[in-house]
Amino acid sequence: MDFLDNLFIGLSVALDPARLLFCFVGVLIGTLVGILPGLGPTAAISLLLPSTFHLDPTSAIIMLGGIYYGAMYGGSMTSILVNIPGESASVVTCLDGYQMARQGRAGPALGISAFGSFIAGTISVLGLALISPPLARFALKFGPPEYFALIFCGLSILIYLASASILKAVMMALVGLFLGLMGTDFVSGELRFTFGSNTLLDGVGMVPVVMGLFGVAEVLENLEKGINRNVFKTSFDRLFPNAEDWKRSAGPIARGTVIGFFLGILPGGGALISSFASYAIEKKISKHPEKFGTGAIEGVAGPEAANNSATGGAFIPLLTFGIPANVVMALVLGALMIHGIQPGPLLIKQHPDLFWGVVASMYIGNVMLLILNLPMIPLWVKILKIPYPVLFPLILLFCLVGVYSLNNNYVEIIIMALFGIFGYLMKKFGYEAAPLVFALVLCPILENAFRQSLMLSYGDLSIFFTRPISLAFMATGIVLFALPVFTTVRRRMMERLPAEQD
Amino acid sequence: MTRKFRVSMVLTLALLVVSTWVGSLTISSPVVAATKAEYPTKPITLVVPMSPGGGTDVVGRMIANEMSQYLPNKVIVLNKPGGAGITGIQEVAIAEPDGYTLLFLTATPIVQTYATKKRVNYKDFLLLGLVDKDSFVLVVPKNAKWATSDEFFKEAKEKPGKVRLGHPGVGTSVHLVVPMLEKYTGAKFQQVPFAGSNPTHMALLGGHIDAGITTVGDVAALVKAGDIRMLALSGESRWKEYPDVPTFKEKGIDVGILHWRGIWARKETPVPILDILEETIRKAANSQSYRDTMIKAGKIPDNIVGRTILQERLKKEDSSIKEALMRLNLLQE
Repeated sequence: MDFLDNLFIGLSVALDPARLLFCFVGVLIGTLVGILPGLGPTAAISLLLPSTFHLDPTSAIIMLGGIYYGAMYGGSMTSILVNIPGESASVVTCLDGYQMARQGRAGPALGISAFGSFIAGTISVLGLALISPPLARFALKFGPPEYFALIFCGLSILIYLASASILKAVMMALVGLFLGLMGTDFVSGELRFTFGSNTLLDGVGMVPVVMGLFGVAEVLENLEKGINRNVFKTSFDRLFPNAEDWKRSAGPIARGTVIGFFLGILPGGGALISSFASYAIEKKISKHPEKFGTGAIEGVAGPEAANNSATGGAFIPLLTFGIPANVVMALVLGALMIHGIQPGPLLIKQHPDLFWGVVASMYIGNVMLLILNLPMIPLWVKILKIPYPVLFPLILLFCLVGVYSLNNNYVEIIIMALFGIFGYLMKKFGYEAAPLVFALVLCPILENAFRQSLMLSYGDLSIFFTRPISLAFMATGIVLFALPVFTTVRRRMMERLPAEQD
Repeated sequence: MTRKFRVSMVLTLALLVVSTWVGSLTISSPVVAATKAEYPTKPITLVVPMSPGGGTDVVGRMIANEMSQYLPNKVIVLNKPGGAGITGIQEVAIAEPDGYTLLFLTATPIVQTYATKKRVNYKDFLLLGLVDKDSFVLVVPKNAKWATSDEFFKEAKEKPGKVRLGHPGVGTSVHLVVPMLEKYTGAKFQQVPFAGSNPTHMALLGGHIDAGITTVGDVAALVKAGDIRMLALSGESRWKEYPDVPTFKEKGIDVGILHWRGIWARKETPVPILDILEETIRKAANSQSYRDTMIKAGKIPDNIVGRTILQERLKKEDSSIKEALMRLNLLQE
């Protein structure tokens, strides 16, 4: 069978000892880089790109790919342990993962995250191997109107992310939207709210904002409550997930994998949207939605599976069309070009050993990551035992290094500090940071998609409703927005009836 | 104060001191006055104002790698994306003009001089050498109804504002070709901007736009696979590889401008250093290994070196860029 032949080619390429070594080096670096906040796979890959010059293309891509999905594994570590997303896609893991850590359940959180990522990563590799071409063709159908509709639908999911007041979540989302508008206008080149700063030409960066809202703000809040308080429960329940954890996580992992894979294919979509979507969906279908935000393992399992599965999906547009789905894939594209390979629709035909070798090695990489991460869990958990007075300066230094390492720009440190204070105030008054981050990241895409769509339709708004995929997402989004309003109104009406009968 | 509190304060202070010290080490030490015999005494930084992995970044890395073979020290690429190139250009504009900080870019400095008020001035720089060239090309999806560029422009002229033409972003060198096409053909397009050439190509493949303007190098893979067709391209003569694709000039459309990338240095850089740089660029761009790698990656190596020759070329491009910006209402005087 064709697939088995290809698998055989792939394995024979990937199981070469030198290639296995590169795979290992890649996932190791990826994990380390994922752990360090701010410094993401993008930075690591661009730093290592020159050193791949002297390697053969397949080994180079194996290593760089390893860094990418390794970073997804590593990013969850700091999210769970210290509430700092190591990777943008790990923001959602902070919500419940960190709470689990504070309750002494860091071990199960880390464990489920590792296993979930492994399962998702494996399945997405299978998906990549089996259904790349038809999936890629499907991805092509997503034009500007479909993107707008998708993100519109995504924003409506935001409502379900809210643990507390929906009104406050929406307010934060609007703040996020406003922040996302800052920068250079896509069409006219006009500057908006850049205050004459060069740094703000491209808008407020996501990394300083996230570091501030999640990392710095958390430290500030803990400091206020008293430095000698035990931030983390010192006795640990157990180090690994038990049967009940598995039972609760099985569904989320399965759903997260599917969501992540499909959203990862869409250029610009990717791991962040898929992890948010997974979280929201798990919360919506859970029997105990109020537990989300206080340490529900489903809130870790689903998003973690989603963001790892998205890495597999992200390779598809690159390997089938030569079009990168995100910044990391663009780097891989660059690496291919430097090695004299022109990525495009002919890549699979002209370089089958490269394609199948990379696919096989992605699976091997996932196995390596699992073996690497599991024994480390007891070690990571020990970090939480460090007295908080010693831990928090380390956390702050972490954040500083993370933000500065991006662009060597001290203005971003100031932004992080400002958002740290803002985040602290938000916590005091019960406003959540997740909707803000989500809206901040999606706003530019949303706005650009909207304007492009109107250009395509010569100004006709109906374009969002005449195209099938776009109509589907718009309708879902409208329903999701309207549903809580409808339920509340109905409930109020029911409450009023008995009183009127008296 | 409890003991724990004191310990933590001391630790924080220690960390602050250490990190400041480490940070200060990275501030460059005073410049050693370089003479012709000594330059370069340390690695040279080639600033690429684009994200890693993009076309400009890839070519920049290739030429940097090649130049490193001819110099006692390496040439290292530093990516400084942002502000459509402004961040990176300014990085070089404020650095010491000692020949250790160079800029690798397209004609973007010229564009940004006129498109954004007072942020950059390309006349602060000298273009030392061009190392790649590419043609701007009009492309359509494979099953588009137009077989030739004549048919295409005819329809665009008859139905102004109806033909949807995608491009990689407002103010990019590719975008500037559009008003020039409109000027010479009388056509008027519905311009749709995208964030780079990749989204533009995706939109073409998906049939969301009717046509697109891009560069041959960027779209070559898709053309070879038959998913996209080229209708006409810029330049003086047809491409060897694509003998069936006419040039705009053949069709009476005077768009001969090419897309190029080159190395810029500050104009205050000492002349002996400029000469050494030009010599190195000439050798590197002419080397077989550079040419081979570029061609395999689907790019066209070029080798036009000499700041005086290039000065003339820049003057010509200056006026056509200004005119294109004016037509797009992007000109800021």
